Amino acid sequence: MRRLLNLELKRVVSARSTWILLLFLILLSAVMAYFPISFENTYQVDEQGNVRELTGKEAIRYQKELENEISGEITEEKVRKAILAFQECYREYGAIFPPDVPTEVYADKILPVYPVLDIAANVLASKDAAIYTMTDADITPEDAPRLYEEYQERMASKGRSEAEQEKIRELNQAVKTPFTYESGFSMASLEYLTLYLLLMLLVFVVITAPIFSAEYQTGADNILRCTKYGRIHLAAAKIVTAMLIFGVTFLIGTGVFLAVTNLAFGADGLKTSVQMLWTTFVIPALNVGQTQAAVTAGGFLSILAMVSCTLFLSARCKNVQDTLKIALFLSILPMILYMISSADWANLIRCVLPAGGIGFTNSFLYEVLGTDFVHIGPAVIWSPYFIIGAAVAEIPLFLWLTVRAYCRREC
Amino acid sequence: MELEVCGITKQYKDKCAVNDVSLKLTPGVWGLLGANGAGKTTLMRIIAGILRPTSGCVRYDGIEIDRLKEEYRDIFGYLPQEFGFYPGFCVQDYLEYIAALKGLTRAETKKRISILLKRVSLSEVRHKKISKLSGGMRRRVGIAQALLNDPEVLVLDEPTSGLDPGERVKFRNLLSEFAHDRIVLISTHIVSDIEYIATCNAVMKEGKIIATGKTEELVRMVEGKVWSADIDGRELAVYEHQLLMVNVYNEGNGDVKVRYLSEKPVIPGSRKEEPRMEDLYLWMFPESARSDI
Repeated sequence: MRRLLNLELKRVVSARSTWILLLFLILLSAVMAYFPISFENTYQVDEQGNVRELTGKEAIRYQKELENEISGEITEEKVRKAILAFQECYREYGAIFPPDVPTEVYADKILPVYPVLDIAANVLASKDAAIYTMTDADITPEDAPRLYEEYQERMASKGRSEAEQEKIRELNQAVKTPFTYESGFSMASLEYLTLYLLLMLLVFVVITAPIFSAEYQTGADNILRCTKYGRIHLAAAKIVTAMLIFGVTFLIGTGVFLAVTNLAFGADGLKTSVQMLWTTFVIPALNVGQTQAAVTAGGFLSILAMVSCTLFLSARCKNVQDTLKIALFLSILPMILYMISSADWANLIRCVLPAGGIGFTNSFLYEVLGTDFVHIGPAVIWSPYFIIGAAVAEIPLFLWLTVRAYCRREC
Repeated sequence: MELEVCGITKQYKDKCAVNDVSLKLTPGVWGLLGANGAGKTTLMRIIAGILRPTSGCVRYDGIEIDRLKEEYRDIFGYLPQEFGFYPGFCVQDYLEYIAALKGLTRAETKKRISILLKRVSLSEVRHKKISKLSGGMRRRVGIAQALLNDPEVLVLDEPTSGLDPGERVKFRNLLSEFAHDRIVLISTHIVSDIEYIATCNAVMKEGKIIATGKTEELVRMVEGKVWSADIDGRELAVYEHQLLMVNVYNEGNGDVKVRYLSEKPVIPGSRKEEPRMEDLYLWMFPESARSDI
């Protein structure tokens, strides 16, 4: 079996197209990790009051200096100071963002406390208000002590039914307050990670689709399945090879992505409570590093489930074109369903599909940060749990079906 | 050693490709003759275990091959009529891959590949990509892979298509040597491939076996029906329309020497000829006289 595996591996990687696609994926990981770094920008005001716009790593470095005051636990005092800074600025200029506010004022007063101000605005201002629209009447320094209490209350009111609210309370219990903030991390890097996972999924569908069906198409399997180990052993070797190539590529690809990202943004930023980076009303008790790990693991399982599904399709379809068409359609179907309907049935199908955790707005990241639930009869399951559960169940199921379809196939 | 085909029928939606075929194959070279579409390939695929019959079964030494599974495939070699290769593989890689699938050890693999590549005259191109080889060379790679595990049962579907006359002779000699104590089944519509090496033949038509026997026994079926005659070239069109022509030889002086099949001599001055397998084939498949042969 080991020899067969080696030879199968040699066969797959000896195909130039496979090499090109794998190298593309690894190169792409570095490029896509770099994008969010390059998007970073901030303003620096020198002693003479001149404003200079900083970008990329320089911006990240300066931002860390700027936000030094608020790093660590977001205490009542830090919240109060941030609201005070807001009020001062708002009362003087009627706004807090340029061009209504001079850039040097924005850089000096608002930027150093912006993450705290943002969370205070989300939690303490009225539900219709946001940091961009609120006035000094919407939020006062006296509100600061209420931050975490109000957060718990608002969190409890999320959910579309009592059952969902109950689940949210249950899951949210573990969230530690006060939140932690360490400067340097960008939500965009997590978004780019999900985008990278989507591209990886599509590339692996392309790599996996011909594994069985190309042999049916060329008639190569006529000979293979007449050999002693040409049935279950060969099917198993092909599956293990596909999984191995995917596993190693995923490891290298995401490894490069995370290494570039974390080196550029700094590992300290990973300690930030995920609530500080997103809409505040996030269910799980995760910091950014844990969110990054969850998104990577969720992406891994979703892609693995889709690779398994593609292998099954490959073992079933007579030619590569049919396999590719169906597999690519199934890969983007969760995105289509997310766009066309938010009904419970659409949510259920979307999450049960093997690629359920991969997409743009429906990616595993947004599932973790969101408040979507899957309803099956009376059961209410938080969508990330359901996606992971479905993928874990589908991987062995599809692989078993692959072996069965290959062995039972008639030439 | 015995391979028994027991009442095999393969029914597709609107076509019965193989119709209640029974055959007992014993060691030696067996020729499976038939025109295109006679059901030879379907029958061979069923024997190879890659196609399930609608009814009937194939037994090897009394045990159904479906039950033998790996055990049967271990002693089996198969060359399909059409098959694909991996484009990235060279001859050596491909044979190593198939050898691993056939369960050969590394040492056996090395030895067998070396011997077989010599036998099929491919030693020189062992490191060449299969995609760069000619059709005949690819066919020989196919023959080599079928022989890798030194099979007890060897099934070859149209093995000589694409081979030049020299290669065909070599192939026939290789098979004759190989067939001792082994069952070799060759399907072809090129009768010369099996005429001199087949111990026994089965003739298939419209999904049924219509005759089985040794070459000389089968040939006797057309004894007294093979004639030759010299005719004027201008008469050829008339006779071609009337008779089943086996051979037409232009003698250059306007005369034509013809070999034809008929219950009775039709052309004046006809001479009785010794029948050959080709005559039998045309007698049984008259519709192919103007297309295949």
